[in-house]
Amino acid sequence: MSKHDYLLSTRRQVLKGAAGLAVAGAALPAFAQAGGQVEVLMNNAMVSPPLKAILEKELDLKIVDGPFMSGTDTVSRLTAPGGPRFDLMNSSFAFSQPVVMGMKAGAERVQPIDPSLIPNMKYINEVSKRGIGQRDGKTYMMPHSWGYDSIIYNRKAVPDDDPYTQSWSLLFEDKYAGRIAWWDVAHQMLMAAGLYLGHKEPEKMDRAQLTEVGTFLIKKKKNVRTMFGTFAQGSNLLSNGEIDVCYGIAPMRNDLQKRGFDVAGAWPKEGVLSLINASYIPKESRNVKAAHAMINAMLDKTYAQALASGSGYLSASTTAMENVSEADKKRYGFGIFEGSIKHYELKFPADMNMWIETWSRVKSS
Amino acid sequence: MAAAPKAHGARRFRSQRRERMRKTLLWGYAAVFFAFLYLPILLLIALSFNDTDVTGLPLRGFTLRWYREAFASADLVHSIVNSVLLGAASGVIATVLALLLALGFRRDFPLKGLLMKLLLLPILIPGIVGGIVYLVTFGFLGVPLGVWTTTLPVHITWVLPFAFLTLFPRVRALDPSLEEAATDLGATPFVAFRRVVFPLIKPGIIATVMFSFTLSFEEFIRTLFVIGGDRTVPVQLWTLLSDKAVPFLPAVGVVIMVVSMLVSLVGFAVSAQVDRRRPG
Amino acid sequence: MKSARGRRGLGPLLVVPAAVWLVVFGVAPLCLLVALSFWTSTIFGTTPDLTLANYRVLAEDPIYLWILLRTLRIAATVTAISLLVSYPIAYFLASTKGWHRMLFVVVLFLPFWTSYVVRTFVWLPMLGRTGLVNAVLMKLGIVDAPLDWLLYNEGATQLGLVYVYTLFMTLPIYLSLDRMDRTLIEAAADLGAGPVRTFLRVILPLSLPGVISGCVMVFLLGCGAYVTPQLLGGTSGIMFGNVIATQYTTTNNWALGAALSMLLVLVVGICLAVFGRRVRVDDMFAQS
Repeated sequence: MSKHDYLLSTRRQVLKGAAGLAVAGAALPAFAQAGGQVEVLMNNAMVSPPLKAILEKELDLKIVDGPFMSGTDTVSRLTAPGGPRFDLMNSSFAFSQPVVMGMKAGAERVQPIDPSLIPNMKYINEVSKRGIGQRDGKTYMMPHSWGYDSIIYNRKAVPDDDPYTQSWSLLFEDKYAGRIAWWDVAHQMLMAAGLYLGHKEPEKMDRAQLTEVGTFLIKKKKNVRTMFGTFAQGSNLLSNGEIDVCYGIAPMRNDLQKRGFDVAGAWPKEGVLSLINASYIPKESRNVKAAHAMINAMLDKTYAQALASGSGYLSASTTAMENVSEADKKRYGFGIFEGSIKHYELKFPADMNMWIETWSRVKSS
Repeated sequence: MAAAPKAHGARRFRSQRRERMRKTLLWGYAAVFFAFLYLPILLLIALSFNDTDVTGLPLRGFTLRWYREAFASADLVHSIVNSVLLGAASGVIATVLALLLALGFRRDFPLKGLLMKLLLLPILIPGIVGGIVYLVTFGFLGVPLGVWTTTLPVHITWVLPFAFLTLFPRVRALDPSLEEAATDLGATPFVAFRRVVFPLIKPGIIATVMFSFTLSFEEFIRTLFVIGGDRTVPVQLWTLLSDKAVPFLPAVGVVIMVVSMLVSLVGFAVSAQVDRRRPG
Repeated sequence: MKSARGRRGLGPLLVVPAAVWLVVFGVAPLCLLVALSFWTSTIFGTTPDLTLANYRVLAEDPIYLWILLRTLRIAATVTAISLLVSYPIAYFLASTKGWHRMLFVVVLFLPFWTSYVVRTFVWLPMLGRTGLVNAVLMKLGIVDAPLDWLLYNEGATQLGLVYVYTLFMTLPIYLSLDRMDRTLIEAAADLGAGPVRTFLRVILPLSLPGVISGCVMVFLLGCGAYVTPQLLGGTSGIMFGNVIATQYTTTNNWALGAALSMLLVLVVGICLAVFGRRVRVDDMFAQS
């Protein structure tokens, strides 16, 4: 256990304290190991109460979900000493693969998934097959769903037919100055700006191009009312009427709409930022059987069809699109699978530190 | 120097009038100040009864559901218990250390200046840096984060300089001849302390413990970094703020205020009782 | 004052427990932080090293120094405002007696029992677009549309900081005013001094230790402010504390965070040393 791994593990604990979701904060009961329980770490919207109920009923299992912060945080737990204390984990594929599967054979930090235990694999749609992480004939990561980020706007202040809603310009340009909020993260914001400014592959931007994007953002910062750190804060700003436009992930939009707020998600022509969520089983998982069962159940019809309305995520399973009306398909964004919605996958940038520096400069100017 | 009685009387009259004007101005200012201080609090209370999902105005009706949710929350109760216990522990321990320090500081000794600077170090280091310093240290040493493993030492260290700064003036103001008289009469230093010094500074000690308790209860930024998965009250509030749409945050805030008030009133009562029992 | 029993030898030994504690919990962690500032961090972890890269970033990128200067300026402004606001109320408190005083002290303390997070957060529904101030202004017809500039800028941060730290300024000043000998004021009056002169020549100097205590406290708290600028500062009210915090909560760049922290401590230390030269900080607690 190197010192630096300890530093990582305490950072995880810090983040847990700093912004942890209060969902399963209580201590685990002692009988955790008996086949009846599985501890998972995934975006909590994926196991929100109605969705969790579906899985628990189907599998006769108790699911305890830990506080999910971000893909980066989830993945960094894999490198902590003693491993993560979760039986099943899920985060964005592009982000996680380098760490989950390591750079070469033998460096995997998770155990192989036994495809024979995942019969529902056959339902994975074409586009999502990218999210199957394989090496040397073994499968390590299994796709779960697609998430996408775009712009959420208040329909009372921004008419649906406003051309700005067809582009990332809604988030950056002057039209709604003073009523915009940005998410305080380097990766997504710079990606979105990069796409908007015409870069075809923003994750490959070099220093000069990054600086150019940074300068653009600094120029447009005057239109921003404030930046939010967590999605709860962002949702609050929108629901309070403090702002009308913000960067938002699908679960945020879903949640606001369910609570009765008249918001919509934009479909920018440059593309929404998409990502595949993939599940993986840590080596130290205590309930491997249940983990497999859960992965399988999440590709099954009942869960898959409830996922979009329950969380905003789009299941990777083809069963999800059965019996979905055209209107609903449009609303939830299933066009991503059918090619009618332009999306760009959030890929891991070549030099993350450079991105972070650029964003720091944007924030501080 | 003695002026003619008439002139003196006139001056007194003028100064009395000035005195009254000054008093009015003071009271007026106090009223404005307290209004400014309390307006947000009143808003908080109003919002805690607001019947809407959104944390903010306008007020849409009266409801008690936020309080119901707040009280139903085990996390909140846990955090209050943690905060109270932690406050008591760090208050007492820091006061003991501060008392020893204050007694020792009455004399000169080598490196006294350096020790003074060391003592002020926890105050000098900005909160955010303080929290990080401990995060790094405990991480490096492999100490698991928690209320009693890591947060307690951090709180004691944070509170210690304040405890000292509160207690030292009173200790310093003691007449040394009292102690000397006691020792001259045959008392050991310890007895001299217990029978002479301690009763005289007891109110100061109580005040220091209470002040330390308040500081520990309020402490947020350092705690945030070292508490791990546990919660104290401020950390719990911050989690609520960051994590959910927080309609019941105002209710929680009010509950905290009432709890702190009660605890402090208990402290005041104890301190008053101690005062009453003091000899002459 | 000397005793044949050598009591003087025993006295100073009493400081040993606290001294040990301070070295273990005050100095040692700080040393580790210094070491950390020479290590290397990436988004996935930190490795011990010996590099000046972090400090080079600080030196080369002017943005950090710029924010530091802004933070110092905000902290100084907040201190000044806080002093102006708190001194009269401290004076007021000291001039009351008996149960009046007890009552007012409690009334002063009460808001500070809600926790600083809540006391900051509450300014959002106060100053926001749909907030109390705007609602009142619109109801009274003073403005037609909500004022945007009340929130999410440096001014809001300053207001929030003054509000949150008032007690730290008021309390020391009150304590030192309280300790003041009334007869001195009376003597001044008897000698013919007017109220202003009495204040400037007698009261203010005697309360100086408390004033210094309070100013130092508020300035330090202001320099390290994190929550308030994040909640209320919007895009222009960011302070150095936020920059440091980001390294530990988002970007995982602990080494850079350590270097930033060292910079802050250094600069704050210099400010206090310079200030301390003008006024003896020892006087802070050498009250008679």
